[in-house]
Amino acid sequence: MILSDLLLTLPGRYVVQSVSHSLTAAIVVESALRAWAIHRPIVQQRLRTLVVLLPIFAFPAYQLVDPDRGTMSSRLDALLNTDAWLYLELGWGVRLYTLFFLLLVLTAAVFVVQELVPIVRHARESAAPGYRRLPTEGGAFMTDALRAVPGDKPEIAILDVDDPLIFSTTGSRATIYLSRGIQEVLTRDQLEAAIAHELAHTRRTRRPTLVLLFLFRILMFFNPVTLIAFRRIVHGEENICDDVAVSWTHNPEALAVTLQRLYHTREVPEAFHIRRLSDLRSGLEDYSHAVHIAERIRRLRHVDGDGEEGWIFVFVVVVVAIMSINYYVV
Amino acid sequence: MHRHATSLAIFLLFTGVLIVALKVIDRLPAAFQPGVVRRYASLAEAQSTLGIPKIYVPTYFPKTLQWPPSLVLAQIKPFTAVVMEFHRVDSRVIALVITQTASQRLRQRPKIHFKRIRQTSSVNLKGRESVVERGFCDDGESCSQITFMEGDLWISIQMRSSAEELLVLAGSMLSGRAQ
Repeated sequence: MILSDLLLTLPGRYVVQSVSHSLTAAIVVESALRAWAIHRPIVQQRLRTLVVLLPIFAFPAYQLVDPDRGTMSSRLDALLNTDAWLYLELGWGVRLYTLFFLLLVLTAAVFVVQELVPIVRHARESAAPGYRRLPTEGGAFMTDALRAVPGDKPEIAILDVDDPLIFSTTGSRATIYLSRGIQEVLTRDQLEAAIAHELAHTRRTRRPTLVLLFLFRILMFFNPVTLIAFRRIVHGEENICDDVAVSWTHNPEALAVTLQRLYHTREVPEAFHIRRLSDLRSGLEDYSHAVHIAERIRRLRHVDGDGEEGWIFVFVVVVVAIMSINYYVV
Repeated sequence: MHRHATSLAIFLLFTGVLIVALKVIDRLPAAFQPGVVRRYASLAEAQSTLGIPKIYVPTYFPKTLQWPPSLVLAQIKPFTAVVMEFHRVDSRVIALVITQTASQRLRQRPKIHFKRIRQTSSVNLKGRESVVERGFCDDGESCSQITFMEGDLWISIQMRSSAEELLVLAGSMLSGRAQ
């Protein structure tokens, strides 16, 4: 009963509508990506950002424009009256809004455990923990192509590790970490491609737009659609950094081979091989990772060719479509 | 340019499908569990379909108003509410709106707009505490509104008329003293 009343308050309406608005926004955005055959990751990301951002502001904006939106008579003209589903009786006195509420709680828990805690932990660990750094001249890894990239260059640190590793951190001073082992696995071209990719990450992570997007994403901590949409944006970030790296090195094949050597050691179907139930989670993660790497390699080898021209038109059309449809989802 | 036009047409098609799908999804629950707000042809239909125990209607009805109501909206989900609108006999102007609801969370678009409220007073209506507002509508005509509780229901009546006539009409909806 308390939950039922809560859903009828303005904050309750906001929560319900932001979830349904995210869902319709996601469908509209994916429709646009297919209709215009948009493969460019940066354009895909700009459009998918709408799935995270628009539902945050849509409800207050609609109410400001039309305070009567959501009234009893206006619900008659709605495309989707969420009350019809939320108050559906499932039996034993349970209504659908109970399951909806549980979904929100579960989403919030996943957000805290899988996104917020790792980010806070990462922010507190500015350096690579547990690895011994070797004294080195990081500049030795800077090829002509990387030196030509404008702006500050990150520090390059070598770790005393046999496994082939490369990653970057963006604390007070951006640092790219290379393991001793990676230098034995990759050629100079491939190492340049890997460093260029990490350099792209350090550059993009410092951009205020991405930080702002994450802050807005936090506001929707309960929203399962935002959870998925934001993960797709993060996945897309790898593709964007691949494109940035290739624009500097002009050598997509070197990056494709690098990915293959570092991460894609198993065929995708074999990666999803579960022997015990306890392996399910790691099996799924391995499978998802293998699929993602395979997709990145495929993309680097088969350049889709579409540019960024005309994206503003598509962006505007998508915003208008989402805002118009969601106005009638109450 | 041609590519843009083709893509736009495909996108509009997708969007059209989404709109139709939303409308179908909207109608599905009502097909097997009626209860959310909808228009009814008559009060009797609303009462029998939704199983609402009592709908309060006035027994005193000014001759200037048209019976039956021109609009009946009713719901039992998320809470019970009934809204009736009445036109004037000689025009399409909405002159009377009666709302009964089990929750104060009901939000309803006002159909009789007050331009100015001249006086607000508490009135004993057959033993019920009621609040009466007297004022003027947009066009300068006298308008009045009364709100009171009957059992678990909030009843609100807005009328393009004097408060005196409104009180007679509201009183005719109730029998005897408060429950």
